[in-house]
Amino acid sequence: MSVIALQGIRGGTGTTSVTAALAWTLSQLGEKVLAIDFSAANLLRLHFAMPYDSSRGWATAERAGHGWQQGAMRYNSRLDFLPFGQLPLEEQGLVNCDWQHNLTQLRNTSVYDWILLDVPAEDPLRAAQAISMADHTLMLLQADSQSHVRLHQQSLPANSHYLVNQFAPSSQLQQDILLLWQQSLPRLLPFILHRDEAMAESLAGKQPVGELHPQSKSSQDVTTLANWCLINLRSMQK
Amino acid sequence: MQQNRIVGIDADKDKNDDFLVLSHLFSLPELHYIDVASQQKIPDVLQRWPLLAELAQIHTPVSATEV
Repeated sequence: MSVIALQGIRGGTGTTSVTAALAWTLSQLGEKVLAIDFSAANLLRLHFAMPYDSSRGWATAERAGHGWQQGAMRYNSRLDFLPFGQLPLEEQGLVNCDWQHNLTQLRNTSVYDWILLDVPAEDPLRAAQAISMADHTLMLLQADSQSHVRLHQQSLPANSHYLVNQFAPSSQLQQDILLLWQQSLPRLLPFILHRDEAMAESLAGKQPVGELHPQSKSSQDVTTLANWCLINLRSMQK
Repeated sequence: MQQNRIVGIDADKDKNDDFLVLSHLFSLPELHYIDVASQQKIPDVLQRWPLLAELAQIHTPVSATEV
């Protein structure tokens, strides 16, 4: 079982859409996947067709004293997901859940090949907890000046891989920044995810992009990402 | 058969790629291909964008120095 944390270098880099898309694509490649939402914004579930007004999730289940497992949802026979759950603002900081222990439990069940953690960019405590438990971190960047400045000034997870999302090849600035990163940023993945309306539509359509628009550029890009994960990050042990 | 084992001296997981395995198996030196064409474009990039030039002068990215 490999635990992968996905986090944007800032909010709005498309991390949740990519997490949902990657989870779905890995499941289509025959892998058993669990996607966990670590963000109180609770958006991952909407990519998996969950009704907006359902408050179900691991954090709500924990708060109610039922145990985090009670928040779990099944999307298809190989893909499960754990929404965060809808909690009022004042309760979000009170969620106390030992995920290190939970992941050990999950590892011992040998059910999953992959656990994907959707890690919020703007919740440093929960993000640090999630990243410390992960075997690998994928940090999503947009090839823009703000991401470039943040790479200089922000403390970044050690040994993180970097993935460029929402790349627009027609932009001179994006091309230039990508070129600079290809020369200077270690562990930048050797492919990018293109800016594509199909990915934006995946949340509106309440489906992972590969399922909603199988012929799209985004779907191809995510298949490349999933295969890269299989080759480079897959754990030999369940 | 000790000499045929690929010993895990490369702690850096990025180097655990097929090319490295092949270079060990066939005792090739590790080749360093440099994309000269891209490297030559960097000065143009820095000339176009003052912010990028400024940051490139101050220091290498945190991520590159592994702080």
